[in-house]
Amino acid sequence: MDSALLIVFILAGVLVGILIAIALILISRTNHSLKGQYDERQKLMKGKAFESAFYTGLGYWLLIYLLDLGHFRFPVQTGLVALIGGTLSLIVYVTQAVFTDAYIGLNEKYGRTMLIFIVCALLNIFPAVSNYVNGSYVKNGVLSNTFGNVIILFMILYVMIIMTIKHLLSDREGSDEES
Amino acid sequence: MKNLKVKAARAGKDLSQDDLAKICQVSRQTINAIEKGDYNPSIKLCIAICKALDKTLDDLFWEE
Repeated sequence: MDSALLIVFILAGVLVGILIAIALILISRTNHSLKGQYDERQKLMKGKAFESAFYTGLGYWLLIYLLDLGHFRFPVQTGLVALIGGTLSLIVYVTQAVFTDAYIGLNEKYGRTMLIFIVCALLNIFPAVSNYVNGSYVKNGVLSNTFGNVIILFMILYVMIIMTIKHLLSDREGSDEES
Repeated sequence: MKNLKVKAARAGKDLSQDDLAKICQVSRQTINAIEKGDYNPSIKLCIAICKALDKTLDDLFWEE
């Protein structure tokens, strides 16, 4: 396929993804706003989580740089190396934000947020399975960019699990405090 | 250090953490963190809590 045409297809895919994300966010938020509402403590905690994610990303890219200097070659396509770095940072951010009660905003609810993640997971399962069936994960001994759907799927499932754990812990903590 | 004054004032008004959080437009976890002494609120939030509980800043946030 012509590389220019491929870029157009990728951009179209990204655009559709953004539109789906906007629709899901508008549906999920209690005031149907694109903007999340957070109180002062949540903003502070989110800031600290972003900081941790930033340093994780920085550390990851420094490691990649050093390995590259040592002429170490990963059997992984470049796009996937970038995606893994981004995913690692996101996982650090989400974990810290969730466990400091700063991930779900004042205009969001656990159930609705989980619904969004379930839809996102389903949207990623189809290409992941399709790529697996087509055998396009490994090309010439190199893990290809198509494996990205599996990484995203793993990240979504991880976020769903830690959100559920935190939700259960918060429920218990709340009932303890009120009693 | 735990802020027992806020907790007592809230209980005195028969409000749950969730009720107080909604009045002050913050999350329940933030009220919980203030009562447990894990978070020092801004003066703006202190005033909002005082107004919700009909108390003064001295009543709830001044350490003797």
